[in-house]
Amino acid sequence: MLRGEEISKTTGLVQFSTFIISGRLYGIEVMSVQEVTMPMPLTPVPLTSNFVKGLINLRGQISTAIDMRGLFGLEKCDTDEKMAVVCRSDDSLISLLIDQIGDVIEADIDHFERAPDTVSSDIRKYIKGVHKLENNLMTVIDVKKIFNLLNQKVEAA
Amino acid sequence: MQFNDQEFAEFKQECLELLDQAEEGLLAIGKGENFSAHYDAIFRAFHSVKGAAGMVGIEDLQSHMHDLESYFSNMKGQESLDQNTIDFLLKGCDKARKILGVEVSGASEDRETILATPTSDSSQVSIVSDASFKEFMAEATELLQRMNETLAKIEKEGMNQELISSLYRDMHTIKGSSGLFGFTNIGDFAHVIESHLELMRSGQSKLTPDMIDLLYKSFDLLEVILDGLIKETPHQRNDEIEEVKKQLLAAEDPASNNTNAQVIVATAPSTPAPSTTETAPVVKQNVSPIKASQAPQNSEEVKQDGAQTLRVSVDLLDRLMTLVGEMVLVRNQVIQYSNKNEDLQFINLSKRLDVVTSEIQAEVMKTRMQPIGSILNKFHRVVRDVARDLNKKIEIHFFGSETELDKALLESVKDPLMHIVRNSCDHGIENPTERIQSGKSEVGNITIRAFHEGGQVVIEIADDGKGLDREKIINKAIEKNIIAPDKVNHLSEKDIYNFIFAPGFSTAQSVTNISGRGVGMDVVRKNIEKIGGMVDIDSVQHKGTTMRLKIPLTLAIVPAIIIRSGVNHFAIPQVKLVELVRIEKDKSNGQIELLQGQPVYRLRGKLLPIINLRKVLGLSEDGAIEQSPVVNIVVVDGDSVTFGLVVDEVQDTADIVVKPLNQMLKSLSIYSGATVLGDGSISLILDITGIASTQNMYVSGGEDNSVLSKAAVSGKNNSEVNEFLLVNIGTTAVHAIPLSMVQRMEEFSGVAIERSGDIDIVQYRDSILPLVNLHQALGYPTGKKLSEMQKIPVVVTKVGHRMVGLCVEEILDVINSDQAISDACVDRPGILGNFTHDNKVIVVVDVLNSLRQVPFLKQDLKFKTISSSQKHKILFAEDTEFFRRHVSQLLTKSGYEVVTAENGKQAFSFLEAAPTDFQLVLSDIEMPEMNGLELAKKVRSVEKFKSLPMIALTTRYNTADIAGGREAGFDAYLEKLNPEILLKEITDVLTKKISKGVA
Repeated sequence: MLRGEEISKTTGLVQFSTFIISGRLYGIEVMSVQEVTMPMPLTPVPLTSNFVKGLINLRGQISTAIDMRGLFGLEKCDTDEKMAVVCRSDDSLISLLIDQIGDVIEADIDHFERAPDTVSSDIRKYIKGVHKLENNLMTVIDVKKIFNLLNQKVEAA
Repeated sequence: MQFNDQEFAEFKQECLELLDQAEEGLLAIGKGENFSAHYDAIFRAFHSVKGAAGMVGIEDLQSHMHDLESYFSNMKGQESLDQNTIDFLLKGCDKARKILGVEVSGASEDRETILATPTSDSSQVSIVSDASFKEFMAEATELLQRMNETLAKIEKEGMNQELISSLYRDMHTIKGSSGLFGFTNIGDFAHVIESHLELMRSGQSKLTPDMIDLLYKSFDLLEVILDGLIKETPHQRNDEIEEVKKQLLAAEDPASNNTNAQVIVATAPSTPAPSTTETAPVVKQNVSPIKASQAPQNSEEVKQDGAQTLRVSVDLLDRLMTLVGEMVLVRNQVIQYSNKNEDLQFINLSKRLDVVTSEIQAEVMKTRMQPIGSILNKFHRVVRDVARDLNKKIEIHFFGSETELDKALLESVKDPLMHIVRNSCDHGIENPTERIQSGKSEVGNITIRAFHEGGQVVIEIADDGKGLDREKIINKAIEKNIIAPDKVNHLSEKDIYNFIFAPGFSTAQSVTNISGRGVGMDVVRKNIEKIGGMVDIDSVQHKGTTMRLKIPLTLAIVPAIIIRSGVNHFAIPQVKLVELVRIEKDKSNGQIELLQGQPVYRLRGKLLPIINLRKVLGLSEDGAIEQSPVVNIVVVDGDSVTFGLVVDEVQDTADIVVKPLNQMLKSLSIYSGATVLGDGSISLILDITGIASTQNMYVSGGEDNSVLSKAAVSGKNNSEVNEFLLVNIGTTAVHAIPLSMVQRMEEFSGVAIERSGDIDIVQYRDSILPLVNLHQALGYPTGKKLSEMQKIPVVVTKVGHRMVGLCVEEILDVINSDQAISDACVDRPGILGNFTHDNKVIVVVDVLNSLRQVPFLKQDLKFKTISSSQKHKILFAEDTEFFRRHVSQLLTKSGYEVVTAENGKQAFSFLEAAPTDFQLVLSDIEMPEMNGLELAKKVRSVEKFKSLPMIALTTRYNTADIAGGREAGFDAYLEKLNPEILLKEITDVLTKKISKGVA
């Protein structure tokens, strides 16, 4: 099987792991996703930013859970039992808490567009752009940006 | 040589095995097998036999094997060997066997040279495999180190044959192996040294101190050359090497020797070294009689050679360690699970898993352990050199050098230790004349002790020198602006000694090349703290200084206690733990008391500051300790402060594996990492030092201590004692600020001051702090401008929710006073009154009123007059006239009507006379006739006053007092001299009452 990047080079198709937050469809390139987990027990970290929901024991590794609604400045969801998309950067793991997991879909690079300026800046700083799917729009999240901004944000806090 | 039969038999057995291996290899080659495939094995076998022979001291065998080895190494790279060569080599093996056999039977005369022809061609650059090169390097370095040690011993105990022989043998080995690898420069140099040693051994050359110097120097140069090889950067010291060579060769000429009168006299091997005459009966590692130390040392080495040892890279061990860490976690989880399980077989299995894992953990830890002696041995040399440079006489002694420490830690301890030892030599130990004058022996002693204590390794470096000079340190600290001169008196000895850890601190009069540049002790401390250790210092003038390094055994797996606060579990490393205290309300082991609103606990007569973990974690707003029947205090040691952490529950101890936190959480200084507990849940590891600093235990450490200690001295719970901060505000009189109004003390430099409109401001803790010049606020004629002052001491106070900095010229002291404050001579609104202290009149500042004179704060401080149309009437009982007047003025100004009473009895009679008139009773506690508590009880006993709000007003109270007050019927307990809170509380109580009434 071809790896994601190779696919994109040869065919212009990129695979995305999709999920839903607050009723909207988001996607992360599959190569950036380590795994998707069922809701797991969280260990809260007192005094940290409100979108850091806690720590998750991921088979002995410790992953920091980020509440995507909190990060995007969306209204809170009543449940704490959330599935998570786990991403890795260097040595650190983060679990992005989402509402609902979707399919892995292939999207054509031709249907990609930068996010329009009207998108809230709270969200725009974390995203790459948008994929126009046949019957839906998928916002593409940039994991690198999330890591970078998180590190800055918490340090400033 | 002192070998017992068994050891010799082992040695022989091994040599024979090795020779067999070599022979097998040779035969295989003879049968046509690939030569290069067998080369390494054969070479190793020859080499090992040589090494073992050298160790046991069978020189015939050693030199024979050396020749054999050299000859064989010339074959390297050839396709195959012809039968003649193989025969020749096989004969060599036979010969070696023969020597072994002969040696045992006691005669070794008939050694014939079978290897006359082969000599290694030194011009040929041998192609050496990386692995064997590394082996060579490691071996040569070890040998050099051993030679250095031996030389130190010789210097100390005088020359004796065995030690010189050992030097000779080691040098010979270096010569041999370097020749083998084609390092001709080393070989040549080693040869010169060796031949010189040979002269000494045969007694033709005598050992003079100069000669020892020369040998040390040559060992150093050898090390330099080796270093150059490792780093692949050629050394630049050829001239020096040539010089030393020349000297060595010159010394071989006996004539030149005679000029040196001073000859080290050999001591008989069996007599103990003279330095053991000191009182300590402990075994001295490197000073013990030669016979005793030499023989077992050698036999140990033989055994090591016999046992199969491997060189394993530290990386691999690190990975192994990490994996063991993971395994320990899994083990913990399995055990927890098995506790809930009823399957007997599973329980048994998990028990075995537990045992095996613990053993693996212990063993793997051991692989990384090295005796601390391996770094200490170097110090003989250092001390010797330094002492010579300084013209001092210094001896260094080691105790417990067998104490083991994780290799990585050992490495990081090395430099700090070296620094401390050099410091001791330079600053600590006096020169001989000084020592004799002060009645000490001419020779200074530095003692390094290493031992285990409470799961840590403690390394103590003690000298018997002049000790730290307190005055000098203080002066230097003031000069370096580390402390303000007026604060010096509050410092404990320890505080003062700790200054030497400040960056850029050095008390040495002159900078020497040994120490005194002041870049030392702060780095020492930093490095030790980096590995989770601690540095402690103790000094007695004219007696000496002791530095104590506390080092954790290992970094990877840490014993910790697990505590609970709220719903969260946290781990506290046991290294930081001092003790656990459990206060039960019913028992009489004391209570948490409040000192200026800050909780403290009397632990064996000393005040221990208390921090509520809930408050640290932001789980509850105030630091109040709940009135639960049991309070758990974890007493922890945060470097320079010991404090009590109140937790909800102390749960368990556990070995935890520290995992770093995600980058984004690292800025939270109260956590040092996280770990996975046995039940699979995650627990954060608390960083005690971080907690201490977030709770500002360091910001004004000196002042805090003095407050505590003074309070402890006064000790009495006198309700009329007030605490004041004395300040100089540029007037002749000393002013006092009630300590209850002081949030913090800071110091800013003039340049940090910025302006917003007409207000001076300064950036402070991520926000802007407005500054008010107290001098101006009190309406004195204009004094100094803030921006012109270099250092501005600032008293930070809180007005409502706003911080305000009061600028003063100098912060003088914190005092307790039970003097009455008199307002007879008050001429302006910002002054509360006067009292006398030490025969001086002190002016008490009314902080809120003085701030009210400042335009931009007026708005904030406007008293909110009560909105309700009905004017509230307050009954105020207080025996001190000053407070009576002051408080009633304050209340009247805020729009209340106040009736004052001089004691409880009077107050109650007023209340009875007009039962419906008063909406609030405000009462002092300590009063004549009827005190506040009695008053409250009496008031509550009357049915119609059951819900009348009552507030107690006093100066100092503790939780027990509060409880007592509440029991008696008070709704709230307030501090005098803090009008802000008083007014707020009154409004609160009254509005609550009103709303209750409405409902």
